[in-house]
Amino acid sequence: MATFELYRRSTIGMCLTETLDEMVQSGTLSPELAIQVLVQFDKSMTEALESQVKTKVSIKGHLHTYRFCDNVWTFILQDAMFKSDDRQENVSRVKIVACDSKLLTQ
Amino acid sequence: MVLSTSDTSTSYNYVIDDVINKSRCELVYNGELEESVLSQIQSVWKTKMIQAGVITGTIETSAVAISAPPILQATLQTPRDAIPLPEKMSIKKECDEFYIPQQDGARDEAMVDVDENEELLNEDDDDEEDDMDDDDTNIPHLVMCQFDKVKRCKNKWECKFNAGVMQINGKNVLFSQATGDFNF
Repeated sequence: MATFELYRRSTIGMCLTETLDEMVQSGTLSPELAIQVLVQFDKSMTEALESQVKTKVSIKGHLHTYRFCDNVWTFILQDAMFKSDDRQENVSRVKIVACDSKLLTQ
Repeated sequence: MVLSTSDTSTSYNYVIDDVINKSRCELVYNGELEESVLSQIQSVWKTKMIQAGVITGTIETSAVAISAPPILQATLQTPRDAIPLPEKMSIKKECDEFYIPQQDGARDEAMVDVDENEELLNEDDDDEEDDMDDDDTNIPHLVMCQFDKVKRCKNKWECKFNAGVMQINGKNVLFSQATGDFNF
């Protein structure tokens, strides 16, 4: 099954990476096993976002920069507004990194 | 009202449990990984998540034991876990040895001249790239997701995203679907 390493940069991914790093450094865990756990995280995270999450969001903003490289879109927005139901968040600058969803079903 | 993060904690706990359970099936049952090491991964990971404020829960007692690392590390360390550093070093040595004899050839000077020029040009390129990357990484708000569709008409961009993690204003919010309407 294809997976994205994209989510390793999220807080949950960074916390796991730090944990595994510390355990490899201390000799508790081999680097090979640490990688296998990370790959399992890639799978579990993607599955969870598909099966556990129901939230729908609308994003609006001024597109400052766009880039398409290696099937990954990168957008940098200015004065962005994130809306879900009646709730919203505003940020002055945000980066969106998006992988091609079709690559997972191939 | 601001976006809610209550579902994020539930989903993140689900991911932690799923990773641990599936790693147990794949790695512990066939003898590659010790159960005690796996539970250490789980408790340290959860502790870090609670400290980062992205999941709710109490820090388990087993996690406290980890704050006394010298004893724990000594008991868990096996020779198999040693990082194979010497191999890496020997590869580098081979490369050096391979490169040095080239300088003994007849066209030494001409080749060195070209190399030096190229190096100067490349140095400038690297600096520019670094500046661009710095610009990107300085943005504290990040959305990681997948795209179904990205369409542009004149200066209007229409996007359909799914399976996203939004880290905005110090919060983690997950979405199954998102629409993007941007003006360039």
